[in-house]
Amino acid sequence: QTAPGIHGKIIGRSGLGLPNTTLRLTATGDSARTDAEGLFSIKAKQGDSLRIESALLPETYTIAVPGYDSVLIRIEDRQIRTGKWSSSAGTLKDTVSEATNTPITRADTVPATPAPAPATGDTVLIKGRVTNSNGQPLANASITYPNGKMYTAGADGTFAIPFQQGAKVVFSNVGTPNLEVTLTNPNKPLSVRLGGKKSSEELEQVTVTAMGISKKSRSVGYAISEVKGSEIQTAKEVNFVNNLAGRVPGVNITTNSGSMGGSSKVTIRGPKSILGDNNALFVVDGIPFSNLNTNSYGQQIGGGGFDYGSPVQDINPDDIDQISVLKGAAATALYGSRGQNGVILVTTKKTNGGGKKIGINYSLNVQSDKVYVLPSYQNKYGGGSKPTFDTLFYNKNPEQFLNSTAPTYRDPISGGYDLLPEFAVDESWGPALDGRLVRHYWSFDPNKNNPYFGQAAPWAPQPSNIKDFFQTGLTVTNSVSAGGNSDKGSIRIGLADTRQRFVLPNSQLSRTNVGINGTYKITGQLTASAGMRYSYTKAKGRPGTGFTGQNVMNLFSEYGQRQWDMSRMKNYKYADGTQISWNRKTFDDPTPNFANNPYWTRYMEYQNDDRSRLFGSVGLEYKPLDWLSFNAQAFMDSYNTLQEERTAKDYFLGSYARNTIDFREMNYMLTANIKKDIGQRFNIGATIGGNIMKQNVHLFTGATPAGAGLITPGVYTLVNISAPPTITEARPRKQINSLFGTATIGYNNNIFLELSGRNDWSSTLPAANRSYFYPSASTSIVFSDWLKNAKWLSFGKVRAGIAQVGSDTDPYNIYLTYGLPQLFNGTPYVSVDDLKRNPSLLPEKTTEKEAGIELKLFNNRVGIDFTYYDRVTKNQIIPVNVSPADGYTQYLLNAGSVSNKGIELRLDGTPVQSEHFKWNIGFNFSKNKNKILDLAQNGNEVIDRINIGTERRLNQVSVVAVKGQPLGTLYGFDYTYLNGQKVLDESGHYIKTATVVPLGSVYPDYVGGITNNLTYKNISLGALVDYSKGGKFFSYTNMYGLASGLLEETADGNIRETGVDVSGVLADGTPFTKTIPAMDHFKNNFGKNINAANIYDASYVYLREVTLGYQLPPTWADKISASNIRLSLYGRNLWLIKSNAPNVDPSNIANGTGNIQGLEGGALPSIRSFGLNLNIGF
Amino acid sequence: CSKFDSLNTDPVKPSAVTPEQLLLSAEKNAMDILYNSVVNNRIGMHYAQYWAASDKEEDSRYSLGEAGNSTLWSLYNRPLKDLQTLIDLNRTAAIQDPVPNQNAIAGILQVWLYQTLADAYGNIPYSKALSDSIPAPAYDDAAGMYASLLSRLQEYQGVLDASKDSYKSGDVIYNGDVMKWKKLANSLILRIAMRMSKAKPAEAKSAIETAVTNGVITDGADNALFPYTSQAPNQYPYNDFGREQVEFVVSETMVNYMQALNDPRLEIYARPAKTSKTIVGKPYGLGTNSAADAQKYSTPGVRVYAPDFPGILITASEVQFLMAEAAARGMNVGGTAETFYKAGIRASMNFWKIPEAAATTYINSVPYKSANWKNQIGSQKWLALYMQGLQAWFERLRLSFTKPDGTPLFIAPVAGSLDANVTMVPSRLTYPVVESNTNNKNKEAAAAAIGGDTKGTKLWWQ
Repeated sequence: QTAPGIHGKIIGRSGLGLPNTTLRLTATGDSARTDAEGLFSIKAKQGDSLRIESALLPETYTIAVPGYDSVLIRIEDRQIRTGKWSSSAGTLKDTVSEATNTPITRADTVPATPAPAPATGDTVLIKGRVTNSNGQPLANASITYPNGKMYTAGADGTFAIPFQQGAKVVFSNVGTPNLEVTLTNPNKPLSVRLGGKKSSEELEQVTVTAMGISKKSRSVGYAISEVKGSEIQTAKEVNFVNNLAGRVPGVNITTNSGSMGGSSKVTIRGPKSILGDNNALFVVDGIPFSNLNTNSYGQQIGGGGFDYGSPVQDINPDDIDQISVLKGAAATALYGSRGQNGVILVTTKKTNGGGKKIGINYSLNVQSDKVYVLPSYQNKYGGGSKPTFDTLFYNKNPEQFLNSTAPTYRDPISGGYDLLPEFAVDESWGPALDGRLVRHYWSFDPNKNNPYFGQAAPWAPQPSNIKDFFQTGLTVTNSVSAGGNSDKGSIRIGLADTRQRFVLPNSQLSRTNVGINGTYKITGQLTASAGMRYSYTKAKGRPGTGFTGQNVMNLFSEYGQRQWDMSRMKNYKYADGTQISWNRKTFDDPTPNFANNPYWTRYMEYQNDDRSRLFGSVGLEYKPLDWLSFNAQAFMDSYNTLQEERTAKDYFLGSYARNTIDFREMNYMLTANIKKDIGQRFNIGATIGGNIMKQNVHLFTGATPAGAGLITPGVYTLVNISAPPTITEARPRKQINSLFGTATIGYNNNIFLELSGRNDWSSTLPAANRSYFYPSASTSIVFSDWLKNAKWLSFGKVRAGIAQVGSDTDPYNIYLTYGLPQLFNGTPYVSVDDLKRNPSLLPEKTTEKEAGIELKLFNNRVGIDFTYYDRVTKNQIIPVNVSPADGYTQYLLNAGSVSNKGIELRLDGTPVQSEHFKWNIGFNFSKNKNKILDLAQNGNEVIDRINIGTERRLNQVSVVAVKGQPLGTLYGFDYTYLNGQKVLDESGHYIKTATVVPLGSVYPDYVGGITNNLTYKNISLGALVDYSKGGKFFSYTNMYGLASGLLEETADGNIRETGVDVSGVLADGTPFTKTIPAMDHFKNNFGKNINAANIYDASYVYLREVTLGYQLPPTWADKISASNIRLSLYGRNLWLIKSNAPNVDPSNIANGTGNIQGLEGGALPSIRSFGLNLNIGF
Repeated sequence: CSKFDSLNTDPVKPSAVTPEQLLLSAEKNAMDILYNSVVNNRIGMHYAQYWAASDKEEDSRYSLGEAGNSTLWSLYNRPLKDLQTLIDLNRTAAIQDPVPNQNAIAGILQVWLYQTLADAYGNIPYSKALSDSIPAPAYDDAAGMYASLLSRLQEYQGVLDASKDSYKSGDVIYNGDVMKWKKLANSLILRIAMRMSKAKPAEAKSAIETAVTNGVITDGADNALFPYTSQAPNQYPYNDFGREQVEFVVSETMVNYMQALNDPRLEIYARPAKTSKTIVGKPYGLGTNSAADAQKYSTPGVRVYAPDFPGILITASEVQFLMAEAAARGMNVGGTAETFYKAGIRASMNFWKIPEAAATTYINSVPYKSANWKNQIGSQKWLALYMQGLQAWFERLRLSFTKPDGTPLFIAPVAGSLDANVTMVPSRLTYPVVESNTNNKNKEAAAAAIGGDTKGTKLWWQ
């Protein structure tokens, strides 16, 4: 009879498996070896003496085989403990969190020697809590007595251990140095803080890679950055993506804090696609998470509309456990074409408690928002086109006065009169604000029972009127979650509620998130998992964007009058419901000439929208052998969005538009996973699998046609329209079938090679080109293993990778189709589409090389991580803007190669570290150099430039791709120069260039951030500064603000009285000096004529975030039976430290997530927030 | 794999189309573009000096808005492309009987649009345009293109055959009436040939005489009009149905001249100013830019801002004036210049629904003077072409007429031109920026060929 076998796992302090460890029976010499995950199996029986040896361990251990057939052996420095192995561990998907939860519970923990003395009831206990260096609780820390007896702290860090006077107990935890504490006073709770990192633990750090596969960090041959959920859960943004700005090298986030839940554009390592999507893919627990942006082209070019934001914000930030940013092609190759712009992998929390405990967590976040950067307005002149008032005589219009003595002024011949401003003019080139009494727009309309009829009021400056329009916003988030483990599985449920009242009148947003996920071990070999999350987001009164009347900033900064008194303006309608507009046509005609009262806009013409989203997955894992497992998973993401926009029927016709988006995507994935040793020194981990992706979208828009209006005022439906609604529909759908495989081969645990490949079949490509394969290879070498004598070097690794990624296109890009049928007077007509489709499209091809080095120096006090990458994207599938004389405006082509080369650098340091005080600095920097290599198709230059977008009002300034220039170069008219001097014509107007010329790239040269964290006992202080250097934008705010006489610059000194000196030369070179009227100068010498005059540098340095945290003493927490309470105060967008752009916040001008950037159409003010965050764990 | 193909077929957009659907699309899109506010109002009506700006004074001062420029250029990818697709699809049609008529009609519309583009810009893409493949098309020499346009129209008017089928629907201009299209083809020959009468007098004469023999539009019932309706979205592109428009006011040039002539059409061309309750024109290119102008000065008349105002292709009035000029130039067009001149005014009066008696009185008050025929015909034709901004601007350039008494009718912008290349009136439009972005090499070559891409470059026929 052979001896019965035992199997199990050897783990290190972190709870992660120790590979390449030999187990040898001293009696027989039979041996076994652990695999890459630390798993082993050996024929042995209870009481046998077993020796454990490993190159990774400082010494050899001997234990007696315990009486279980499933054994967990934990090795920590000079200690070794065994326990019953009862977890669902051993899966290939071990993550840090799962692994640390491997239950070595107190009951199961036995020290190797000597035998433990059980804690009896009469033992005096001392209580306390273990926290990390930031004061946050550390789960499951080990507490070891000198006699070897061991306890484990709870998931919340709390513990109660027997008190022994003067005993030196050792606290230890994953990745931190041990801390010895002498027990002195049983009545004083212990506060134990474990900080820093320990070199030996680097061996066991794990990184989550593509497809959620966990790999040893040391084995990963490409750059991956990780952000802990906790980093973004204090100074909370409604959209968690915005919290990533400045934290991750290589990632550029552009957003618009003024747009309430607006778009966040996330590009990783620069833009690769000329006209295609450049946004990173989000994957949440394996679910490809749709982030379809619905902002229209018109909006992105500075036109009107609403920023409906990025749907990725449906994720509850409190659910996030960790975010991994996969940057290069080698890291993302397994995601196929969808991962080509990089992947943001979000892992959610799977459980709250450790062990068998139930953990409950509650957090409250209260935030106050205020407008921050507003333009500098002039306060010397009011509305109008000339410096004088018109007159309203009593004799001519007695009906406009209360009585014959009412007129303010008197003319000896014509009699009493009042002064009339030019209401109909939406500019501020009017009379000086000298306090004269005038008849403001609100003093007319006697037939509407106007209580202010006939009153005159001073023509006076209102320096704070724009600021007064905005209110203080308030965002309150309540979030609660509960979860726990048992030996059968784990579960977590979460609920969060976010309510935001925004800074604009009548604007609000709310979001509810509920979710559940869990795992259940059906049999020893079969584990089921499921997770489902639902979110419901609702908004009303989003700010209008860009150049449109629905953007109140359009009235404030582009076309308006400076003397508005907002307390008067608030009165926006008469009792009969008609509007009181500042822009009335005449004193006796209240019809708005162009523009509405901004309060009317906010209260009568608000939009609203909602989105309900359900996403989740179910999966089964079958693990027939220790080294083999199979996974079958299905992922679903679906949402329904309703967007409604309206304008009121009043003097205007009114309109209504309804837009719905129904999105559904299913993914079905099957994988087989292997982890096995080969011989003494090699091990292999491999995954092969297949995926089927099906995506179905239905977009529907019904809108009031131009020239029609509402039938009944105030009723907003598609049937209350005076003509048939204009309906547009689209139903994009596609399917991608894929096969993929990846394998990592390790040698001696310090040389690793990873190979992967994927083949996609996409329904969007023609049959001949439908299938495309992309390979990748990467390697990692931990050279510090061979430099053990270099004490200064704690860890060192070099890595390199190369990969090729393919990409398909959007649906329906192959076969010819015509435009949507329309009716003229009952007769149908159909146009040829402006986009010419292409039946021979090829997949795009990206090749990327990257190399990097990772160093930890001086006992981990300094960390360096550096990456260089070089990426070329060829065969770009682009709807090339072609000459309309071709008969189309766009052709779909494979044309163009774009190169992105860059570096990413991260430096970490701990300048000060003492028992109570610690200071950490993190610095990151990424520089990307982007260039269009060619615009060739099969080697032939077919086009010389590709137009990406043109601003809508002037139709002059474009974002263009030109060979040799960076992608996204602004083109427009510039000044002409002669011998370095600007050329003028005789009338004092600058002469513009004959044609459009390059005016700079919209993308920054480099971006990054600096974090500082100071910890003193229970208090922590953190600050984040982010910066962006370079990049240009064209500013409507400045151009129109100057042309309309609203901005401070237009009333500088007394230029309105004396004129502006324009100097330069005439075309023939003769020097020319002339003074021209300020209005002429600002209207004709700026961007409308010379586009370059309103092109600005978008660089900035921003104090983005400051957080002050306080961990309340455990005694306080005990009073409410809580295990920990943490209170934080924070601020976001605190200080625009440096900016070269006047009147707008250059970090706040995004109009969408498309490639049309750098066209500012009427910037919303940026928002500065202060908040309080309370977090209680039970 | 066939499953993937059907999955990749757009379920909401048609993959087949009929000639009728394409024709109506072309007719509507052509009119929508030519009478779009940014084209007709901001360029044509200004350059013809009918209107002045109230909100964007720079339009009057020749700072060309790129929106209008690119919209005009979209004639290529909209109506011209629809018509070309129609013609191409018809070549392989199962039933060939209606094809000759259908393609001739489509061709006539193409010629009309190509001439409009050539007159606005000079050399333009023509023979290589709409070729369905890249690279972007080269530009044709405008003079050579004119010869092609004339010969195409000659051919079409010969092909058109009333005994064969035409369009059963979709033709809202003439409802498929082949004989009316024939007259339109010949009338367009008149327009084209007359525009080149200075540069190529012999060719012009021959073309005009032949066209008149073959039959042109002389009756207002045959006017080529696009019948916009008062129902959205099929309204005239710029109307004050939803909101009283304030962007434009009528020019002092037009108002003063019409008042001097006691022209009964003035009441229709303009409405009384809000403040004075009388018709007041704004001095052209005044340089001050005030929304209050729309109160101080007259805005265009109610009729021309009506949602069902028609899109005008050509009218009997214009044809009569063309024949008057032909006669005055000594061509044989079957009548005297005076007769045609009077008929031209009368046709215009009819178009604007002026009572017969008032029309007669007016016609008698502006007698034809052969010694001064150019100014006489030019000024009256100008008054008749109201609302056809581009055509009126072209005729202003071609005839450079004055008032019949020889005093200037037009003025330079009061505050001066904002374009250094132009003082009085632009001779052409600069090529749109979209061409710089997509077809730069060919555009540059064309610019060099015509003598520079500026508004000051005189075109070959001017």
